[in-house]
Amino acid sequence: MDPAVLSLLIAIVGFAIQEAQRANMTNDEIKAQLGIDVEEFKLRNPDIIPDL
Amino acid sequence: MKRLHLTFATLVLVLLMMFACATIQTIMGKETPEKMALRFTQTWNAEYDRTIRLVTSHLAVAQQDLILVQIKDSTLADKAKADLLVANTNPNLTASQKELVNLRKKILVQSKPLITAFNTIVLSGKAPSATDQAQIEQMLQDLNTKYLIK
Repeated sequence: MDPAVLSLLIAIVGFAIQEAQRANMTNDEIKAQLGIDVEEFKLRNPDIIPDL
Repeated sequence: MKRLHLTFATLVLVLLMMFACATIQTIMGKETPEKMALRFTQTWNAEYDRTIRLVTSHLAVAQQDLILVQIKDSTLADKAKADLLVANTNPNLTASQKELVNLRKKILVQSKPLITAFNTIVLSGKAPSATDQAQIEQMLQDLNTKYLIK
């Protein structure tokens, strides 16, 4: 078999494996990976904590 | 033609190696920068909540939950949130508890910009520095060890 065709086939299989793994990821992991839900990465304001 | 094939095969192999690296990283359970950023954020927010619960420790858990909901409300002004906390601060906190709140607040204030910068870098697809990561890890660890709320 032509090495280029073989490489392409291997790459397609690799891509399919990765996509299958992505399908099993939780929503948080997908959001985190794609950077869609910025809300997940928001921190609250510590300055409002009273100085005691 | 043969050279074209070789170039194509090389490109495909590089792609394959990239996929393989990502796959191995997932299989080995190594934390990706995105997961790390999410962990930092969630840990920081959890430590923040614990500090608020200490400040309002005389209240019932349901009341504390209500205060935490109001603090998370982005439509509420910071001044109103600060006033809410002052009004609901436990008047019977001991001197050591007050000191603990102040120390935890200090670390939360210091670590917030570091985590925000870390998240911005990660979400823009760039690689964060190991130094930033180590510094954040240390601060979060301090909150959970040296300045732990018992």
